[in-house]
Amino acid sequence: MTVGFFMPFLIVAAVCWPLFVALLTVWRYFARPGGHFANTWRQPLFAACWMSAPVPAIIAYAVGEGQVFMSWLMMGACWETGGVRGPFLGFTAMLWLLAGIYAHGYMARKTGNTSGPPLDAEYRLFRFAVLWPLALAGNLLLIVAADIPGFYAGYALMTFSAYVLVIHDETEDARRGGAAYIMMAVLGESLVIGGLLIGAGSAETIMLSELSQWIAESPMGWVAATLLWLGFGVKAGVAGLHAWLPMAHPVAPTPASAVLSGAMIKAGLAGWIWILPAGTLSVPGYAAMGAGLAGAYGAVLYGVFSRNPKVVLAYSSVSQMGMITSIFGLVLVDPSLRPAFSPVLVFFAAHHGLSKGALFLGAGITGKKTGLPDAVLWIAAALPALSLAGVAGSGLIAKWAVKTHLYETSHAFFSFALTLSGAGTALLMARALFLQWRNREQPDAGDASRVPLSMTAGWLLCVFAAMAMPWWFFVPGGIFSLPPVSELPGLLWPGAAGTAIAAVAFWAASTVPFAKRLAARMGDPAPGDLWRVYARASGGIVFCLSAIIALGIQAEARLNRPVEAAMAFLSGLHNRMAGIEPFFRVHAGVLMAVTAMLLAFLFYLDP
Amino acid sequence: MAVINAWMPLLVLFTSLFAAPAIFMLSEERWVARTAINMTAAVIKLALVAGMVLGVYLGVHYEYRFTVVPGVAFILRADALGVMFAGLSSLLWLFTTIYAVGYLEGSPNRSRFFGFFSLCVSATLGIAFAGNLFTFVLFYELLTLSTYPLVVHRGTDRALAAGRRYLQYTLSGGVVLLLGVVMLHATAGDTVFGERIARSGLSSGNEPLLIGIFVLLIAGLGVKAAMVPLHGWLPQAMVAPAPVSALLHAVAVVKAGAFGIVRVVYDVYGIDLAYRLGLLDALAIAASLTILYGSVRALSQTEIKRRLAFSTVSQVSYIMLGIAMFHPMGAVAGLAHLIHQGLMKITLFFCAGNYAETLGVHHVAELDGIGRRMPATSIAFTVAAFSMIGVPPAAGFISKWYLGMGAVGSGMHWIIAVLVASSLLNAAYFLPLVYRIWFGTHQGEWPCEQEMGFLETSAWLLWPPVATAVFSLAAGLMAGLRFSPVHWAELIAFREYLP
Repeated sequence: MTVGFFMPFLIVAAVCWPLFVALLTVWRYFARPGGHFANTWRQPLFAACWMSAPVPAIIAYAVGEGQVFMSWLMMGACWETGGVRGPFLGFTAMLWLLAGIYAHGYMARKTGNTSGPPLDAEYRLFRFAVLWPLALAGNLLLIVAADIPGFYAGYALMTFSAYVLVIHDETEDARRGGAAYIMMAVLGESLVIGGLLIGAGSAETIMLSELSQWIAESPMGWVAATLLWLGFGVKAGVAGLHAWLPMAHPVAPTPASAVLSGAMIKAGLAGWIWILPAGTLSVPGYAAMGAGLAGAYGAVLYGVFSRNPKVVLAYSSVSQMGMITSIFGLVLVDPSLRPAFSPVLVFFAAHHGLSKGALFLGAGITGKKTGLPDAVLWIAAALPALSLAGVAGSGLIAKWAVKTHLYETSHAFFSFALTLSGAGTALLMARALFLQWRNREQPDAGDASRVPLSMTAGWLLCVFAAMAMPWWFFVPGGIFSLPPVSELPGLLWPGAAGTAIAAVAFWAASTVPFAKRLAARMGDPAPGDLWRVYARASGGIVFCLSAIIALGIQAEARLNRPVEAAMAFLSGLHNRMAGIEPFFRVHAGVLMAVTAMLLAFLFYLDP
Repeated sequence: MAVINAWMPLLVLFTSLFAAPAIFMLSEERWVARTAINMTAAVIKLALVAGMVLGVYLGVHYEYRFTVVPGVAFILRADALGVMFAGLSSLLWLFTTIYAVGYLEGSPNRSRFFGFFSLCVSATLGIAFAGNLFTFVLFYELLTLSTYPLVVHRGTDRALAAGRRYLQYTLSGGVVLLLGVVMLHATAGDTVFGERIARSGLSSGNEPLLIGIFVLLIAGLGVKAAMVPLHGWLPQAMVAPAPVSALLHAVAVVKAGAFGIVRVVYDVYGIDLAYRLGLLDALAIAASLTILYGSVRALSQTEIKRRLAFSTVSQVSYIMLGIAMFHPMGAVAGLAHLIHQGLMKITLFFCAGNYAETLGVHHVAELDGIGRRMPATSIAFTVAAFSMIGVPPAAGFISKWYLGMGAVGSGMHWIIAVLVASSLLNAAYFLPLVYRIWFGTHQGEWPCEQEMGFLETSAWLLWPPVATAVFSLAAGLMAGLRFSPVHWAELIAFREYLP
């Protein structure tokens, strides 16, 4: 029997196993109510089962390509792992697996440590334990689904489930971040469904590939394409639509931040790659290039001043997604780049996903007691940062791949701008590591216990997976290798420049009196830069809406008035008729006689 | 076989029509006998209707008719559209009966309630099986009269006021409808459903008259279907007991109006004629306004059931929007939504009733943290709310999808904007409820907590919403199966309307 025989089952299992894990968790919680879930959580068998949720997806990626049709599912489903879908599935599931291992220890420790009613802590643990695999299932489904309803179902399942992960801690910041997240997410979903309905309705199809073809061929395609680009842009954190991201990603529990910033953020990119065709969309393409570069630089300029390492990392996600956005914009403008750049984009996304995941997981562990020697701890924390800055590991390879392909095009300025943004990344990475280093000296009083082994293991494995990507991660159609030594100076200078700027800034802030005062005076800028502007604008919209509602209520009252007047008239008539009644009673005989004569007369007229 | 085929519609009608007097005659205390009659009638009816669904699928013709006066016939028959509505109402009647038994536990006047309850369902099935406008109007008015005692069941001032408002609206609507029917009868003779006016050759030269009659018919039916500005009774009528609200909003009254509009557009006028007269555009605009208005009004309601009522105003017009598109996909959307909306809305009302009965929670602000006290009910509520918003894979998404396909196919692209705006508004008024249910923190006592068995609430109250929530999820998830609502809607659209 061939591998192909098993592939449909593997693909179905990839999506359904996490759903089953979620169901199992619900069952275990309600089967024994009243304070046993924390114990269930620690049981090895349950823990293994819970952590294994993404495993079938990884196996599906490793085994090969396949396809499965299910005509009974919604409007007919088609799930497949061909082309770049396979590697997309691979890195997403890998990050979820490692973050899940980390999450198990993290949540166990958290549930043990929190003050307050133990049932509250259990309930939160349960909520997390159910929604984590659900968000995972959505994320995997949107990657494997080749049909539009399935893709959108996965997208929505992931979006709404992840809200619960964002808001988990229920602090003031978490609620604010969650609100920003859900509002922007619902807005993004509306844009997406609008674009999908227009496209699918015009193309009369349920397949993503045919939708893409329609957009390429139809003169009206740009309407759907623009809606979809914007809708997915919300998820991908395109500049202008990104404000929720630095508010929501850092407030989630650390493992959830890792998958939010590493895996789920890529759902936007997946939507772009699956649907938007290259070549005919030059206007959105140039807009994407502009917005991408604006995000890549703007996020650095704002994020570098934050004092929370997780916020710095979230801004770095906005910056990195800006680079990906701008490269994708270039592909939209220049169709000849598509074959070469699709694998590069996926490799870049995978590299950023795993490195950013490792960085987030590291940010939650460096201030705590791990039992590791300090040198190992900080080297492991710094490695993914170096990789992301493009000076080592997968980052260097990704950068080299982008650069080689860009050399072949005539976009010299764009190429330079992209290279230079590497300096910004280095700056952000230095800032994040510096903040972690500083926080290390003041660990929280309640967190003195050693972190569970699963946290350390999940983190170190993630660092390893990120650094060793070239050896286990394959994208069909792309060859990724380390650059030759002669090319190194051209690739390393932005990282070096960024590090140098960081070093100078650090030196200045700690020695030069003026800079010292400036640094002290400059507060912690609130994450979510533009959010306040949006909030004010939407306040205006709400005001207008409530004015309309008030008018509607008035109009409704006015509409009822004639009805009531008519009713009053009828009941008045009724009373008057009651007054006539005695007359009829008294003169019944006369009336009957008159009627009889009238009838006789009528008969006489019409024989 | 032929005899059975003629009597089947009558038989279905009689199961609940005979149950009604039997229940009226029982004394208050005979709980077991009353429940047994109710349940038996509901199960028999469901089985009979299921048989008819299969029969219609296989092409059996069910028809019963007699001539009342020459030129006016009483016709009961089952076509695909009729059994669809009959199937929905008999399925949901079963759940509502179970729910009502638990809900009215220990309250006065139960015999009266269940008697009229049965009458109400007979009337609904009569509407479903009515074969011409005359028969339709007959049962339509019977429905008005049999639901009034249910609306005012509690006898409070608020309930009586709501009942008065209900009668004012529906009886006036009935008069307008009757006027339209009589005028149509005078113009075109007995209008048997399916023998469209377009085929009679009457349509040329009579356009203004036909447009006038159409407006009268839609205005009369629009009262029950709660189309703006004729919706005023519906939010007030939500003071009725929860099972009544559930029935009113999901199956009986509101749906009867919508179903009537479907009949008028498809079976009396015919979609071609309606399109040629320019009536579809007007209907689509009226439906869109209703959708947006209802959603906007729902935003500011603080009472749970009132918010749900305005949501009904909005959601039922999806049906009209679907049939107002000159496209088979629109027809599929509208017809499937007839069932989808019923499943979703009945779930929401059941859940709201559970919150009110078990914990005394009536207002949105009191929902904080209720998910932990009543998880199964809350999961059902959440599923139905997401379905209403149109989140896949639930049933509401399927409706929205086909509506979108129909809108683009018929060239009415602006409807996409209406759909997106409506989804946003639905999210805006449902998500805060879901948020409070799962993330709010409950403090102190519940307003009026009652101990009801070892589950979160009485089993009679718990299982119906869970079952309907599962149905509304399954209707979307397994839309590709043979007897799913969408599949049946496709059967109707392609078999009967667009030959």
